[in-house]
Amino acid sequence: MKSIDSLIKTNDVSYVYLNSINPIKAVNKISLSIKQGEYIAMLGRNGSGKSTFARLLNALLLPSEGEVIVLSKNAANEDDLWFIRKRVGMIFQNPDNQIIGTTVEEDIAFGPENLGVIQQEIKSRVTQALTDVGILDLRERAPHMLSGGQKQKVGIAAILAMHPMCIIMDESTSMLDPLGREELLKVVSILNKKEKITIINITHHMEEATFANRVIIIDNGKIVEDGTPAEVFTDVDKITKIGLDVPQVTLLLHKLKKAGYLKKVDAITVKQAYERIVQILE
Amino acid sequence: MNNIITLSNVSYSYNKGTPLEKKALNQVFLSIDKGEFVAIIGHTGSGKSTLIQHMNGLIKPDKGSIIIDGQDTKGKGLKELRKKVGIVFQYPEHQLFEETVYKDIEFGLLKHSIPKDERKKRIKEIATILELSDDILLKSPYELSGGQKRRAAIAGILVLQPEILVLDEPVAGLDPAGCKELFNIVRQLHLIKKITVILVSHSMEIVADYADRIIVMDRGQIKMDGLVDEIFSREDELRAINLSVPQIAKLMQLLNQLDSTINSKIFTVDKAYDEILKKVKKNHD
Repeated sequence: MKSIDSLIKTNDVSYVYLNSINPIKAVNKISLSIKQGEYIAMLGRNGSGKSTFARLLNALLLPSEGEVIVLSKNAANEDDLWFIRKRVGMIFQNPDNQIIGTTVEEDIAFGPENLGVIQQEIKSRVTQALTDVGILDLRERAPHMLSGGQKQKVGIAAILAMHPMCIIMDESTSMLDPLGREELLKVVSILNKKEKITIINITHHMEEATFANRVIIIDNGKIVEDGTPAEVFTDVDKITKIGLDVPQVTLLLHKLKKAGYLKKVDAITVKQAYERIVQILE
Repeated sequence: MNNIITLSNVSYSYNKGTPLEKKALNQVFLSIDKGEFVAIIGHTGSGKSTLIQHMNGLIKPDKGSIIIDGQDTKGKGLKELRKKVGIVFQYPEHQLFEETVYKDIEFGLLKHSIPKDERKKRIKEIATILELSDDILLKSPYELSGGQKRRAAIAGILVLQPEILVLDEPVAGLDPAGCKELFNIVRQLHLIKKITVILVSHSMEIVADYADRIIVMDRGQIKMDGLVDEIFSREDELRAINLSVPQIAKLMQLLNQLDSTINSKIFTVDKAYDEILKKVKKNHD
């Protein structure tokens, strides 16, 4: 791969938490390249290091060892911090922890204001961001009166107003109900397809991985799987051993394969599984 | 006869008498027997949380009545009631506050004036079930992992030996292995100690795996109430109120449209496997 198409690159990056009696190496020499326009699902157990790794990608944390390069700028270089954070935005688990404005549009204007964007431009960016996530009608509402799903959309819009190239979602759907989750994922998919914004979705919900075109599994601070969803979920035994799940239909095909009825497990959606099972039923 | 929870014509509104008044429960009738494992599903704002907060008297109904094991929640004896009904709220670990895990679990027992020896015995028993080692018990709650914190918080409820355990989204934020561990413990308590379990969850897969009966809430009312296979076979009605069915349910319905001899009322991987194998063997004969 030519270095030019990598948006984020990590070289042997490690991170050690020193603030406890026993220092914990949360990220252990990860080397990875992420291209513009990719949609990545990042999975791993609680404490696997995935959130720490994500925080290294937009320089919220700085590496203990190794380096993180965003568009050829080194995250360790203090002068480039704003350059990086402007391009790699992050949205967290609890929507209440990241909202600061008293109205939705004020909240969204906060980012570009801090970047020194001129007033007129801020206005148009806010309108555009609200339109892109489909919440223009909420612009004058008080954020704390919104539902969880709406709040997370405000979070996405706030990042969009900074014209990012990448959005990292750190378990941003875990507090949402199925409808809220579905709508947020829909918005994110559209941003990925239309605006070519790179998406990194850190999640425990395996079915969310089916939206991605690349799945990365982190365990004990290292990458243990990296491939398309179909490739990664095929190895059901390995995934289960790590302590993760596969979608229900994948598990079903895995059992059918073990019993000798299928050659490989390559379905993660209901539709794909249906086609495979129809074949064995003839 | 074995009835442990009875709601008769229960209505409740928030912000009563203001322009923001919102009817959260509207004429709810519900009866749950001792030893049932019931799941309550419904989208956000459907009234699930309001409903469960009525079960230990945290909220009292505007109209109607709630009888828990013969006791009206509007009457005296709230302390007894809360011992009987343990509610584990979302993210219960946010309520941990003591210096050590042991002290945190002990807190409720002290409030109920349980003698020291008995406290010790109960904490030991619960810690074993929830796999909280002696080492963990002496730690500060803030030193624990997410899964351990969750179990520590649940231990504080279980140690009061509730007859009814209400769980509101107990695995939100836990990874799949942690989720399985926790539910296996709940299932054990349900089977061995005969605890009545009421589970509020957005995960239809978990509901399919663990519950016997499903109550579907919508706009403050009970929209459906039945056994798991009956409820999940009504996909269109669930979709209409923004709920879904497990992946396997969708798959089996597609297969049933192709071949009507395939049973569509299947929601778990194991049962789907058996059904498909049966069909394959038959086709190959």
